[in-house]
Amino acid sequence: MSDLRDMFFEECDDLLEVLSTGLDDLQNETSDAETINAMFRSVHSIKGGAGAFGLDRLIKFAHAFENVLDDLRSDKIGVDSTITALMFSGFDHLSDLVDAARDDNDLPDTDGAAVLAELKQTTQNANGGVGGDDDDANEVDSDDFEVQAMDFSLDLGGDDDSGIGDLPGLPSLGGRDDATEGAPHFVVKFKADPVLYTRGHDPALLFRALGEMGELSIEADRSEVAPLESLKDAPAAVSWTLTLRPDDGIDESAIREIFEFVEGQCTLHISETVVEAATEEDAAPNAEAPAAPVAEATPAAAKAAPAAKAEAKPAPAKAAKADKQEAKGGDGGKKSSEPRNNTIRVDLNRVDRLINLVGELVISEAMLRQSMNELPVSANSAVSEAIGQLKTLSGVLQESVMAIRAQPVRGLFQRMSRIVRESSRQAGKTSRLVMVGEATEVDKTVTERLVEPLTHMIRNSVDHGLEKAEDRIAAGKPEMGTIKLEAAHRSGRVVISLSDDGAGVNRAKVRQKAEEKGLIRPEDDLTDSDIDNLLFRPGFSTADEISQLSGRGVGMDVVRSEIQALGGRINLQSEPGKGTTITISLPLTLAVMEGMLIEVAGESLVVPTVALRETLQPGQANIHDFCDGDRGLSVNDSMLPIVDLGEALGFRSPLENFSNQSLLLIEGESGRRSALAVDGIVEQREVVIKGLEQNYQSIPGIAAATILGNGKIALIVDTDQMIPSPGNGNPGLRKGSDLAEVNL
Amino acid sequence: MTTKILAVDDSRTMRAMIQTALTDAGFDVDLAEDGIDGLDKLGGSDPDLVITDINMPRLDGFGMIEGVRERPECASLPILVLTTESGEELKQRARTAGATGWIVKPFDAEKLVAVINRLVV
Repeated sequence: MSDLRDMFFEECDDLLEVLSTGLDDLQNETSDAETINAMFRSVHSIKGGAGAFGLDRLIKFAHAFENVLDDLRSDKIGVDSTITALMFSGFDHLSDLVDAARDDNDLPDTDGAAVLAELKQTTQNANGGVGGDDDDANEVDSDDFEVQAMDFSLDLGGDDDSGIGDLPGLPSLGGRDDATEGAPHFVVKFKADPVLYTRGHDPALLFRALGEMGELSIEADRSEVAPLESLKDAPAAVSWTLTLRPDDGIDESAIREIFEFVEGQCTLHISETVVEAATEEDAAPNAEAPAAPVAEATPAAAKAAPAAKAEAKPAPAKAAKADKQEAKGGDGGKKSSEPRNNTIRVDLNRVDRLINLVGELVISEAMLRQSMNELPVSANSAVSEAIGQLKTLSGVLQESVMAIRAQPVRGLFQRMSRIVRESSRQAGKTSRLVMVGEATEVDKTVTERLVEPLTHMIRNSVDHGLEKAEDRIAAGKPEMGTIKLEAAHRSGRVVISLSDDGAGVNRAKVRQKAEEKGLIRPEDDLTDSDIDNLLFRPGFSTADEISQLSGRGVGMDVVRSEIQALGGRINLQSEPGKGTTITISLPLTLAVMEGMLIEVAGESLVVPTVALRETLQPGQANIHDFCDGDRGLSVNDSMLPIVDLGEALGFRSPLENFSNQSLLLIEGESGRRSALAVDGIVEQREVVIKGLEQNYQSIPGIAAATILGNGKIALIVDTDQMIPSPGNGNPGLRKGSDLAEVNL
Repeated sequence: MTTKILAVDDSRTMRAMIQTALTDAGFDVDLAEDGIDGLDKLGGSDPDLVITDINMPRLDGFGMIEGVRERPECASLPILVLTTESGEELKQRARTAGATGWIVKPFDAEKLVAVINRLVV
């Protein structure tokens, strides 16, 4: 059952996504009839599943929601901004209810009450003041699988235990004299209409069900059956009189329920009588007169009734089926042209195991290639071609496997549209979310771990970025603010940007705050971009009063460290009066990365290529000595701090001079640069990232590790920690530089 | 011979539930995701009874039932509608299309099995 439950909630996520897409289409006026149908089905399926798990509140709400969608699709109400807003609120509350049910939580009673009332009111108005169809009839007891009392259904009542295996055969066909004197009997007169046989019914089975309710005798009246030469609808021409001496607890309604599926497809008369009296007016003639002895009726009962079935069923009629399918094609033709979703669901652990194995394969391939290179040239000409192919194949294999984990960012973005709505409401602003490139695919882990940082960024944008309505109008902007979420693949990375059309960063205020908090010194020379990116520094908050939304003590610094933990960079650009754009750039996969293999103090290290801007061989660089052993590299118009990697990571004591050192120019998230002094540059290569934190916790200056072709382990340098920033030095490192990049 | 049932529902949760309930009761169960899929599978599956949902993409339950009834060999195949809907109008539509019976979700496994046993020989 818990598997089914998990499956249900997984399905709910998918259904909510369909609903959300539909809502966006409604809002953007790109919807069609099928949009609302699909939305209706989503809510309907949630209701159906919720019923199975006894999730009352969810059922109730989904029911009200579904009714409004039903009115929409039957054009009882039209789509306008009020309805769209109601649909969005409904969607939000529905998501909350699903989440609460998933976590076994109870939402406060007041939650969603207003939306529920509004949904119900909408249905009521649409239906001329009368409540929805079966408003409360459809609601269920909290017991799992409680079956509703229903019309037009079979008796599902009480003590019926007819399971397979103990199927009673047809009731024994006795005469009416079986009946005990004085006991109440039911006399059922039944005559099937021809249509009954075309609905999958079989009178013999109805009688069998009746026979399970007590002692049954059956009489058939064949008087209306036409002579052979003009025989037509023979089974339907037979009238039946069934006399039941019921078991305890069986009443007329129980008997009626057996026949409820065939209601309207037969002539049915049920009467209760005491047998010896037999005074029932209409029971008498039929029972007396032409009723054939039961023994004679038996063959008719056995043959005539199932005849239709017996004829039709065994006929394979494959050709006929094929024809039918084609004929049906005309009917469903338009619909079946819709793309089929050819997907399977796979346990994520299996995919990750596959990815890991492929990672190992890539490493083995590299080791093999390295060994080959050490062999004499003559030996490897043919082999090296094969090795080359192996390299290509393993590369393709790796890409394909990674693609399994890739997911469109649509779901993530759609979650954000709710955040925009909620934070706008709380901040008393109106805003809308524009999404671009939702189909861009990103590693599943990335989409999951971006939820928190993006949520926070959006709250910030609405809260701090967008101006109040009056200020916007005064600035000549539309009253409604626009938040834009954009995703794209750019040069091997995924770039997600969040922009608002607000006032932009108030740099004077940011600078003042940063000085007050001692993050920078008044004399520090900062570019506009430096000031903007101060927002990412720990403990920074510009809100004068802590707002309900974003001033929760969690700052943009947490956002940045989350992004960095994903191997990403974050950057903020702002234009006063025009707005702010925060750009997150992420690796396509979290498992492989381009890196520069270097050597320092006999150790192999990898510097991520994304941070690398330039490499300088020994002697090429223009190095300046400063006091305190600090050195600077002058590049064009700038003076960059030089960080000796060997010293910074504690591999060796400070070098006397850097004349034999190669320098790597690196650039951090903030756009600041520094030069890393290393002993040698080996080559650029792809490395498989192996996390260290699980075993060694976080190590200052080290991001992760990798295994090289020769089987040795190389540490991957955390370049951002190698870039000193103004007034901050590098607290995490043993010995950084006190120098920061300065413009000359 | 084991009774074969073709269950048609667009919700995978619901399909899994029906399958579990009916397989436990000893039936053979084939599954389909919507009306079109159901009609596609009808020939190969050759079921003794069909269970279908009403609200489904591409081809809904009514269309599915009509499609089944159009096939001569399925003229008397029992078709149970299993749905959350309970409106009289919809039931009448299903009846006209050729449905045998109507059960409202959520369903009780035992009782569903009892109903099925009354509809198959």
